[in-house]
Amino acid sequence: MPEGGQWATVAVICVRGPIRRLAGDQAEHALAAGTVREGLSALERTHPPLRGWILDEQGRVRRHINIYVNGERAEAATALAPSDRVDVVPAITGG
Amino acid sequence: MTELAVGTKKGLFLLDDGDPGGSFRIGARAFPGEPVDFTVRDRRSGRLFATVTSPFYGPKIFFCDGDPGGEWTQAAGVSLPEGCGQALERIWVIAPGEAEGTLYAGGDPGVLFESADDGASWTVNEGLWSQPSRPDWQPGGGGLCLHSICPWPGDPDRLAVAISAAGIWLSDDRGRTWRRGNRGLSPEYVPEEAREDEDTPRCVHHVERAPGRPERLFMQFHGGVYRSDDAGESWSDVGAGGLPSRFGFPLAVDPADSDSAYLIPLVADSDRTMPEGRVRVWVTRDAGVSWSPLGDGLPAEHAYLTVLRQAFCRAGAGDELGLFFGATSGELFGSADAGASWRSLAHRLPPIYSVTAA
Repeated sequence: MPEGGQWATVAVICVRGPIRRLAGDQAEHALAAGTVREGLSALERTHPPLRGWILDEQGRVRRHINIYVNGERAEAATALAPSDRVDVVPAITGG
Repeated sequence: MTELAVGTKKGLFLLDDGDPGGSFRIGARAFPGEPVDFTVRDRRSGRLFATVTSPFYGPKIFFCDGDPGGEWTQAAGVSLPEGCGQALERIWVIAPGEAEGTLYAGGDPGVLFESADDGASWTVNEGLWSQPSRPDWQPGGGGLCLHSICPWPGDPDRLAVAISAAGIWLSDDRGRTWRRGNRGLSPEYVPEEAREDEDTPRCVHHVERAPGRPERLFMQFHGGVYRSDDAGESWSDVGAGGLPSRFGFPLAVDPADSDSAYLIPLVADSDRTMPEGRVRVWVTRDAGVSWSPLGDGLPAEHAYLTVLRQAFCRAGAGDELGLFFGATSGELFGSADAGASWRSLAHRLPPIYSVTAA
């Protein structure tokens, strides 16, 4: 969190599958965060059962989870702008 | 009744035989589609555990006190210390301890977890985690896995664990401090000059303690079978007497007879299938001096099965010792007479990772 107060940016983090169930069975979460990592950390704090599912114990996005911001591949460090949509998607495997 | 908890590539299966000697049937399935690396029921609490490594969401321990087909609870604390730079890769095994409510869990990278509340929450064993030699530990083919946990019956202070390929570790103070127990192990996969070096990797595949004589342990090594009669301080090669190979993983010891142990050898590290394409369990009745095959009722030709490290277990003891193993082909076999005769218990399960009995 920035010095002196809340993040100005409010993004919407969208989750599915078991992550959605652990996040209070809610698909969309409006959270104040300056980056993807901050948003995911805020989501973990809001829903403690999520801890360790998207981010590993070192705060890294798990290898087989993909993050999209407004439909484009993103990383943990990707900056968020107001009203950005962050999709948390298990990687496609197999095929 | 015997209950078998089977961990597979596609979920957990519980089977039981109803009455002793009856046919086994699948009574429940849990975690459909998920890799269940290990599952075991703690007989003290009745609690059923499953270690699940989702390829997406990482390794977790779950437990269930009721209907295994219903809700499971995720155990707390199953992660590495923050700031260590590593992430937990997998939980290989869970073992009840001797102290009330105590359990241990072993994982990759060479980590021991302990619980004092019947497995609801776990902490990293700091004594083993902070070993000065840890930066030099090398992983085996399955990772840096802590796969064998051997409590000492009746003495919660004494514990032995095995890590591939960081060898044997012993504690006499309930896991506060640890020392190596590798004397006598000969890592034939390194040059002869390096075999005595303490830091040379010891690729221990599986260790089991003889419950009736706790200072005795049997070990399947990467190359060879060993026995210790001094609580794991030193080891003697006992694999020369008739075994078809020096390689394998599964191991069981008869609680009623500390001279009796069972192995399922594989051809070699380069060909992890049954020797000669015959499914056989090998037994010693003289503490490893000699070994002989048991295969009555098992596939005798063109059966190139693989049985993984945790996919062999025992129930009972003596002449009525139950032995059970599952293969990556999805076949499950069992014996109710110490291996004298065998039968197929299930044919088409997903690839089997672990089998435990309760």
